[in-house]
Amino acid sequence: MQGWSIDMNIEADRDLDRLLHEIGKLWPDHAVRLASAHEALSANAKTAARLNATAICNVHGDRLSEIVKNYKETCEVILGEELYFRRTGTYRASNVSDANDIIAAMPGFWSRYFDGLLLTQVFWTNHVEAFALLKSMVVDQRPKHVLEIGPGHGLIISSISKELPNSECTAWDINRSAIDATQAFAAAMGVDHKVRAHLRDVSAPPPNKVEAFDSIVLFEVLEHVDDPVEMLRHVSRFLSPHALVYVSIPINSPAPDHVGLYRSQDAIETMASKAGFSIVESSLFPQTGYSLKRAIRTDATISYVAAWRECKDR
Amino acid sequence: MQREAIRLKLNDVFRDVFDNDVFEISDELKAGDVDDWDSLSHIRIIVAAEKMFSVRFAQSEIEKLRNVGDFIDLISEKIRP
Repeated sequence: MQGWSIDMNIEADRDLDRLLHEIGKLWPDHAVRLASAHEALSANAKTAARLNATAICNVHGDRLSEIVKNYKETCEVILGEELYFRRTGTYRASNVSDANDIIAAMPGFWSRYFDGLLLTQVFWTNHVEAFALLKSMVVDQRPKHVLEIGPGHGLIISSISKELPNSECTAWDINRSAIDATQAFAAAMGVDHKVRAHLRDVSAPPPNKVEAFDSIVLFEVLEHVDDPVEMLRHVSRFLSPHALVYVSIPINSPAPDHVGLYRSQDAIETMASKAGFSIVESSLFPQTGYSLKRAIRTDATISYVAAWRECKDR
Repeated sequence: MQREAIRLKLNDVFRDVFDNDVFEISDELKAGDVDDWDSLSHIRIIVAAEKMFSVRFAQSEIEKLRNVGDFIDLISEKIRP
């Protein structure tokens, strides 16, 4: 890995242990499960988990106990949604307006949720495997200009930037706190001079100057919007020739802010096709503790990761 | 329904959730005894049992359960005519 020394790997191991220790203080049996799940990760995902742990400790080292508390609360909220989903077969919210109403009934939701999601990028099998593969796919393409739409906490664009020292990385989000979080992670990973985070809506009319990207990343974004096909059509305006779009989308994954329920890989790829994209490559990662076969059989959560290319003959 | 009949039907729920055809439940069995019995599996057991016995469990009832024996007792109470 470029730019990461042996010392950094030792530090990363220490930070992973630090997070597990903090989780163990509040939730001992869960920490044991997470440690076990980490051992079962692929080598690529183990590396990503360790580096994410270091980034989290660098940015939030003085409030890890609060992060862990918020992670536990996030798990409890998601369990409530899981119960609803298993009983009804649908997500509680079917559009963004419903989701906003649900979330408005939980004061302080977003800050706790962002903290919770951060730790899933270290410990949840499907999240960290998806993160690691998507990052590798983008890095292997060696793009000059990378755009992430909806960076959320900012871990993925900062991690990509770290491994592509000669590339420009841009992040757009409609949420100010996501821009702030992205800038904080970019700074913690020493790439703040290369990651530009802007408050911007991809569906807004583009400025007069030409903007084109070789790689556009949509990591856990399309399940949050009312019309993913329309969003992908907006994304198309910013693709350079031969560009690829990299996505991670959850299948059967209830959460308060998930409005797009995809029940299978086919459902996702049908949506991609409607938006004018073909599938270059794709992978599936089942939730912690599940084989892919068992996850498909039981409709458990699976992360879908893929590279898509726009069909030019449309 | 007799307690033993409930236990047999519930055993099928556990076998399905854990994808294990030889899984055997007992009254004393609890989540900590089974590696794969995490909070998500727990929800799947609860919801599968709700569907199998045509009942609905309240959150407060679920939280009080200490082991499979408690769960069988709760189902027995729910389906009593």
